[in-house]
Amino acid sequence: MHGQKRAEYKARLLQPDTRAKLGSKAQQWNHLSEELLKQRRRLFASPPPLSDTVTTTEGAANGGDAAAAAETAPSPEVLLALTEKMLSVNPDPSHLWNIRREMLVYLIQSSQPSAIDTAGDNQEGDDNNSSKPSTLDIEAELKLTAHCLQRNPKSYSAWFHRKWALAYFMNGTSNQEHWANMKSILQSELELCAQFLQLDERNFHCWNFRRFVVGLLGSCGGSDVTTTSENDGEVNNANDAPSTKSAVDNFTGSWLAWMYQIEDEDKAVWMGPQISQNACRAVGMSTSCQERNNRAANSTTAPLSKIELEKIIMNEWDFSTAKIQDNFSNGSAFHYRSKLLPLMLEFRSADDSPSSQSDAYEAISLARDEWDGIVLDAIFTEPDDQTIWFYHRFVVTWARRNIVSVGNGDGSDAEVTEEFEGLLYDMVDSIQELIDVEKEDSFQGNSQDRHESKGAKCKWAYLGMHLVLSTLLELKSNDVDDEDKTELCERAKECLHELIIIDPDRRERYQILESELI
Amino acid sequence: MAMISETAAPVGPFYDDLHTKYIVTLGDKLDSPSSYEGAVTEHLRVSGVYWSLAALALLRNEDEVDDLMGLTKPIQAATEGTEKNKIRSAIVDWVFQCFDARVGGFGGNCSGENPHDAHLLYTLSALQILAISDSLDDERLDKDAVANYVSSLQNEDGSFSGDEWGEIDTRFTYIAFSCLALLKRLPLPDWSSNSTQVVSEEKPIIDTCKAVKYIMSCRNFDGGFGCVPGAESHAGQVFTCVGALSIAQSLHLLEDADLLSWWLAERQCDSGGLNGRPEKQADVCYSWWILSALSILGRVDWINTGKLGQFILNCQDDEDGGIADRPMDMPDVYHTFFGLCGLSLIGQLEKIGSKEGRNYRQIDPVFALPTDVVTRLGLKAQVISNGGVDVEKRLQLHSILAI
Repeated sequence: MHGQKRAEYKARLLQPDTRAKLGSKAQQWNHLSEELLKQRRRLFASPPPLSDTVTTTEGAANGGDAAAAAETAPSPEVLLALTEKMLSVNPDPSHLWNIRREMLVYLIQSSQPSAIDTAGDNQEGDDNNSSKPSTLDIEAELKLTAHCLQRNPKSYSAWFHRKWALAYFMNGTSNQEHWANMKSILQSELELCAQFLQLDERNFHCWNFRRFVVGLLGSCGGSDVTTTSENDGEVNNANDAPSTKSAVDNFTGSWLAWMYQIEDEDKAVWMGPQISQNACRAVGMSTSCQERNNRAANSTTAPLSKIELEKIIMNEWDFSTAKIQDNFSNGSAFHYRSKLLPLMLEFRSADDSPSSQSDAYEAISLARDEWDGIVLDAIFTEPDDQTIWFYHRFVVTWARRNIVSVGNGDGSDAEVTEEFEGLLYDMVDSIQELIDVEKEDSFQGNSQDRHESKGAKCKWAYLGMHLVLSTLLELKSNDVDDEDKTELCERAKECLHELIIIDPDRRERYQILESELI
Repeated sequence: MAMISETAAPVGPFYDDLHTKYIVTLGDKLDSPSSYEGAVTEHLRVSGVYWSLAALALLRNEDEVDDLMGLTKPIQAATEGTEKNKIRSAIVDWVFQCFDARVGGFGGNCSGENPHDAHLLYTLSALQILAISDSLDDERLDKDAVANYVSSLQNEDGSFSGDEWGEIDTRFTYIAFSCLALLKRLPLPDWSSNSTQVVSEEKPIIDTCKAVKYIMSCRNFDGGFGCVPGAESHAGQVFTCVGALSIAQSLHLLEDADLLSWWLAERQCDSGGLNGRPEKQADVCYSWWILSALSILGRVDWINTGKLGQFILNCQDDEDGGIADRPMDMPDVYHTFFGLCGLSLIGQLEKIGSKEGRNYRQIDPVFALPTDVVTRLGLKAQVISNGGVDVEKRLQLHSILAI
């Protein structure tokens, strides 16, 4: 059993009380399991009659038969209650969540007025019930999944159901009040993420969920609400903004649907869909703006303004900063930051005079901010945590990539390179200082209380130094100044020699790196 | 470069007898109506059975596995308790009861007559069980239906959903490729034309090309892969992505195999075990996820295999058999299987077998099946020969990309 101490676990199982209790729980579970599947099969063999809220003439005629049939056919509500009971104990079985979703969709779809009634001609039944199809009780699903996630914060199925419920509920939003409510729910979800990450800051399910919520939030659109014309139901053009390729994209958690203002080839990698479009369509989520607009009484949302878009992203950027400052070893936060950093460059790029040179300077400036603001502190606080150094490597290589495209041939690329080299030399100085401090520290005796993942002291500092020196060498590859290059090369080799001594397990790689230096 | 065959054998006993007993008695234990563990894991039983069978298959030959587990014939229940004389139906027969004809995939178990909902996870495990028992040509297997099920789960962006409810994850891409490969229905990409090969004028059952491109879009700053674009690198996801690229003969797309291999090598902790992400604890199952990826990438020697072997042995339960996630923890069949796989991939299992006087089998790093099964089925993936060095014998059944 994952993560359970053997001696304790076995001892517990030997106690007759515990065995009896577990035994009876097992029998209860098995009974419910078989019952549930049996009932579900019966339900689909003979579906119960449509509910009273449907106002078609056929519905009214079936009234008498409904009562009789209801006695023998299992009810969706009962199945829902069964799934809730079982999932509260064991949230992992995905088929239980499937059954739950089936019942929820069934109940909602069977309460929808038929297509004829939208025009309002055929209302024979109660006016009170006819125009209000029931929507998902989102609070119930959020409550159940929250309970499940407290038991098992790493349950794929529970997290997925929470996403699905939010998407499905959002699809049901149709007027301004609903949109405000939706945004408020999503803000609470961000809060929930923050809480879960307090308990386990590396829970990747939660980080993915956060990105999903941000995806939905962006899809809620801007606050500049447009209304349809009252006279002929004509839809305002903004609703068909090119931003939303397909409305169903808005429910998948992807950031693509509303990041239309960013001109970056790597758009796709920011955050991809976590629910498939096909699955969204299969349960009736809107496939076009027009469909949604037809359902909306009088308003819908406008696309996000650039300011609103930036606000959402900056909130995420600040969140990653906060998590890193809480704990420099937070690899998940650094990973997120690595996705957001290119976006920061987008925001800083001058709209009015875009040039690859100004972009290059911005990139170097951002890299310097990351170095001065985050990495420097981190490496002096936790010098042996590889996370920070992997991020350092990323910042250096990312900045490098952003200046390589500058080549106007008018000497401007030399200036850009010089600026970047300045930053790199600063890094060399600081890393050397760190190495000196760490080595001094080791002579005074290290603490034995090191996490097993840390590895040898100074290893990562040497690797970081090697990276910076190699980058400098690369930049100077066309330079005539051999002395400078020779010195850099010698220094880089020294790092590798140190590494072979202190980290012999990976000497193969260091030898390869040395051969690349020549 | 140090070849894995040169690594020193780990110190300490290997509990062949206990592990075998652990695996063989597990089924009856979990099947008991009063087994709590059985109840809470019933939904993934098909996968549990695959892990058991594949683990035992490394330690015993085909006939022994069949006899001990009741793979193709009914078997008498082997355990204590009231059901001593109960006959359990053959595993293969039970697998077919898990087939969800409504969609064409396999569920994780069945309750009475009703199979659990189909899912890609359990579909692959089912096919793997059939592969091990040489039952893929059983007339009960509707290969078209299963292939169509897999096909129906591919999305417009090339990704795969786990089931009709739409959860997307790169694990499912690997699974889709593996299922179709086992069914001999996987169309390969034709990178010269940047499209999926067309066979006899029919539309390819999946767009393998698009699926591969989707995998690459999940690449991160550290060279690793996550479950969707934007998700953090994780050793498990790295295996599924590299494995998928391997099955689709597309490893050349990995522009920086060095960076990824290094990230994987840096998963080795002081204890010798491997973790799944930086700053996390070592866990035996990563012996599989990481060693399989490194095997495909041709860089197993980038970790200290001796220390890893020692770590795995330290995770054995010396009382009741089985292997746990870390030393002194409670074992389970998942970690038992992956621990044995780890020992196999570092070349230690064979040596241990010789000491036991047995002919242990080897695991294939791409399909997670014994190599003789992979050979018998004619499955062919791709592996990298790093710097043109000779590839280990077990991998020579695959095509070799020398880069």
